[in-house]
Amino acid sequence: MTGVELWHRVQQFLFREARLLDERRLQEWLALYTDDAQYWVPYAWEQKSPKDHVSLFYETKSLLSMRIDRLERELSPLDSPMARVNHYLTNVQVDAVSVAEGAELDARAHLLFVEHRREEQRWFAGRASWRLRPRGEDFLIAAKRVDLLNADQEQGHLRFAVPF
Amino acid sequence: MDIAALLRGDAVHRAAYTDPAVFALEQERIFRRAWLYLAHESEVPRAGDYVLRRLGPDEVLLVRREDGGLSLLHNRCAHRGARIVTEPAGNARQLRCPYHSWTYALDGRLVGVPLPEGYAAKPELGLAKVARVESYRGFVFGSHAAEGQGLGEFLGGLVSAFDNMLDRAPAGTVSRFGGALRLEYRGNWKMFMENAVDLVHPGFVHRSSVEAARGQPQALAADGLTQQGAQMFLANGMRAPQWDEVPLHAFPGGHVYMGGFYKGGVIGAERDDPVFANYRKQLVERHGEEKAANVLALDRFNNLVWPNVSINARFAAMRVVQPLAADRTVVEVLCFRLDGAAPQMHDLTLQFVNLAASPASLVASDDLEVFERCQRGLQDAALDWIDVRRGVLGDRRQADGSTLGSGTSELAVRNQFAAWLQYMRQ
Repeated sequence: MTGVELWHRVQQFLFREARLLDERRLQEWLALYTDDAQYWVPYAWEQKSPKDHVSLFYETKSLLSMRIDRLERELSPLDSPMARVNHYLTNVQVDAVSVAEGAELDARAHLLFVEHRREEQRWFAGRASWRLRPRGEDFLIAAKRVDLLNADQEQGHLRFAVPF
Repeated sequence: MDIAALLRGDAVHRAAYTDPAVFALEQERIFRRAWLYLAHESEVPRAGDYVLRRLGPDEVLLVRREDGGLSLLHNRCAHRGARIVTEPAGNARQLRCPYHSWTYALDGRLVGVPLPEGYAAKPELGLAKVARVESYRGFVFGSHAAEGQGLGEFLGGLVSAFDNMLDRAPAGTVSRFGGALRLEYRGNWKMFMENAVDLVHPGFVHRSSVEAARGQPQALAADGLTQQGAQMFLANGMRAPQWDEVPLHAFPGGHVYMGGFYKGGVIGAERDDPVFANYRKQLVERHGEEKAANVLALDRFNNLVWPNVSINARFAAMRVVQPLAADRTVVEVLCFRLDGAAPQMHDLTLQFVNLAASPASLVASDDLEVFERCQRGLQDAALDWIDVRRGVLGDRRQADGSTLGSGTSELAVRNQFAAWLQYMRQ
């Protein structure tokens, strides 16, 4: 496979992940993750580890599963009415961790997350990175990290329901 | 303003939450008088270390001086008013204003002014000092009031919450780590302090996360992080009779704690893995068997030091409420390391605050949503009074001036407004 093909396939995969979130197909979104996946949104700029500093999200697949289960039960006051979200990905790049066939890949992109809820539209910009595990022609997400430009901002985070 | 008219029996006028004039008066009469939590001494260990913090309405610098003492200075140049420091923390030999380079020693004394020949005498100005700064076993508080209760007297019955956190550390001390989460909401600051000891709301507000965790019983046997999340979400699903058994203990000054939470809930007071067994052994070595058992058995969830601190000693976490406007508040969430304990014990603290208190938390996000709904609803003038009578018949006055009530009572709200009135009317 050429670099262009790989890049194209990875990008299509990331776009699909974004679309599943945007369309609230949350179980399908979760199915993109490996059972041992780590989902991390740091709370400090250039945070080294989730173990020595607080995080905005630091979750296992089971916790993500509870997160979306909660939204699907439609019991959360936060998500009533439901937020509408768009994930925009640009600057997609792929770094092969190893050249071996079937080896994991690292992908990164710039992320713009727009959320409309009731009378308010909020914008968050950040850098996303994924550790992807090939699965046939497709991929699974073994780890995802999103660094918000304003991760450490004092005010303005308010609250989040749908993941990035 | 007739402050007493805002309280009527066991009801509160909505203006206490919505009126900017009431908010301004609160800033003057409560937040410029009470002892407010600032920082922990471990954040400024060396001479020249400083942290930039909010103390009521003002921005202040807590500085470690060369003589080892602490200075608490307003972050405002004595010349033209520029903020001197903008970094949240750092180390400096002197404090220098970026505008005209007025320079101050670590105690706030003015030591250098450019073009001194232009002055008849060196200006006798320095950085304004905050009236009082005092530390309770490493926890540093400041007060803008030159006179009033000492810190120990102010903390009163709640010193036990700080003592318990320290007793839980094998080395007998704690230190700050992990940065700070900040939760903003568009609601009045008092809502957070009231909700932290409101044990009727969890069954309703947190139902979505309770149900989500009930739907995944296998999570209780999964990895530590997942397990802790599931336990915490499930804990909010206790039934009213169980919450009733969690007593509220209210003290003069507005302070309150809730006890008996972990025993009744699904979050065990103790754990039985090797890390905890070793930790327990360390505590026995420090305190002896009987006291170690008592330290671990002290079973309180939120310990509130009114007006703006909430301590959870079991998970070594603290929240500090910073009012910004009548309808805007930031809550800072802080973690402490139990000195001498294994790193896995600190994981529990980080996980606790991430899961319970981040703006993305399945728990806190629903609380914030409800505060914002209340703030919006209270704009409506059709009903002026907020009823806080729930459980009033069960309040039991104690000989020491404190009051006991059941977990489902609104005793804490009544007690906080009694303190509020005391501050506000003088």
